[in-house]
Amino acid sequence: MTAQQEELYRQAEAQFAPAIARLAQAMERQPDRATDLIQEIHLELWRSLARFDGQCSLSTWVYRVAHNVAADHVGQSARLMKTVPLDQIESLPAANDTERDLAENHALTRVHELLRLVAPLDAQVILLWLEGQSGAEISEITGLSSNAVSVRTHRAKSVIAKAFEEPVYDGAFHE
Amino acid sequence: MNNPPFPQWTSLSQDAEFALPGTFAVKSSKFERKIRRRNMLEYVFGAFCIVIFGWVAWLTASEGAWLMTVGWITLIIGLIMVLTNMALVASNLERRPELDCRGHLRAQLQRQKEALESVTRWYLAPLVPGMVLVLGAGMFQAAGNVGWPEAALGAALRVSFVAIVFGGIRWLNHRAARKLVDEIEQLDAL
Repeated sequence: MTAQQEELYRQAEAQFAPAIARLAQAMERQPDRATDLIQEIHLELWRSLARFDGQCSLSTWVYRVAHNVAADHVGQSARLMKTVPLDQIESLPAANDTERDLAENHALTRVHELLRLVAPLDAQVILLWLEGQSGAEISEITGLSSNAVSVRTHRAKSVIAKAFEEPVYDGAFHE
Repeated sequence: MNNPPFPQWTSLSQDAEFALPGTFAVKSSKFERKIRRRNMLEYVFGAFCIVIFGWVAWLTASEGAWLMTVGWITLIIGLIMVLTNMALVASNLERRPELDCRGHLRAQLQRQKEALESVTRWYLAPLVPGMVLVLGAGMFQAAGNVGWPEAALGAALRVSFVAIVFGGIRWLNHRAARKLVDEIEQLDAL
């Protein structure tokens, strides 16, 4: 453990701990698997920070590690599932289990369903956009061209915005 | 964070914290556990096959069927080569999650594609010499009992069966590799 690694880890915690938790909860439906994923991201981030050389910002580094570990965690099962191209989705999918039926119109739950429905790279772009990353930052994190990012964020915005404008389930999503 | 489009989203999990680095010393990642479990399964299966092949080699040696014994021992050597190759393929998995997401995914697909495309060299070829010797020895043994035409016919059937199995393995792996090539090309186009 180096002092720099420790310092970077603390900086990453201060800035990105909530975003990493949201990423894990979005990618893994089961709470225990989401918790596993969060710990996995922390572990890999800690290890990777020993290699951090300042070639990119800490933000870019953290998001890359978090998204790549999440993609690996969801991994095989997601790759075997048939994904739906983002440009074929007209509106947010409905939540599909009993507990979630109670929050049928809960926009955030439906965003989670959308993220599990689309291809991993599409989900990564949408998540980064929801976190407020700019097109250039998303492009740097994902490695996609700015045009590819722009097309996806535009599409995501049109699909998601309507759901967020609808009356929101009574605030319980704030935990 | 720059300008989140939906504050409802970013208001979630605001109390999240990181795990303490001290807890990482004894922890292995899911990825590492998966590789370790897979390696263990392969080694257990390999050891089981080696025991069985070794037992058959001992039986044939005790009957004086030396060519057959050499065949089974060659098969054991081939199996050890396959297990070694598998370990080498797994050890090449250097984890660099700080790559950009497309690069990370592409590197994984590329590695899988190369392993699938080269299956003939690292998985099938090491087993061929042993297989040829065992089948050839079987034909010689049978020829002494039923004559050469019938022994050759029996050997041809067995060789055909093995060839179909090996060819099937190769075909399935190459088909999977072609799908990965398509995925890689789609990624490159993004």
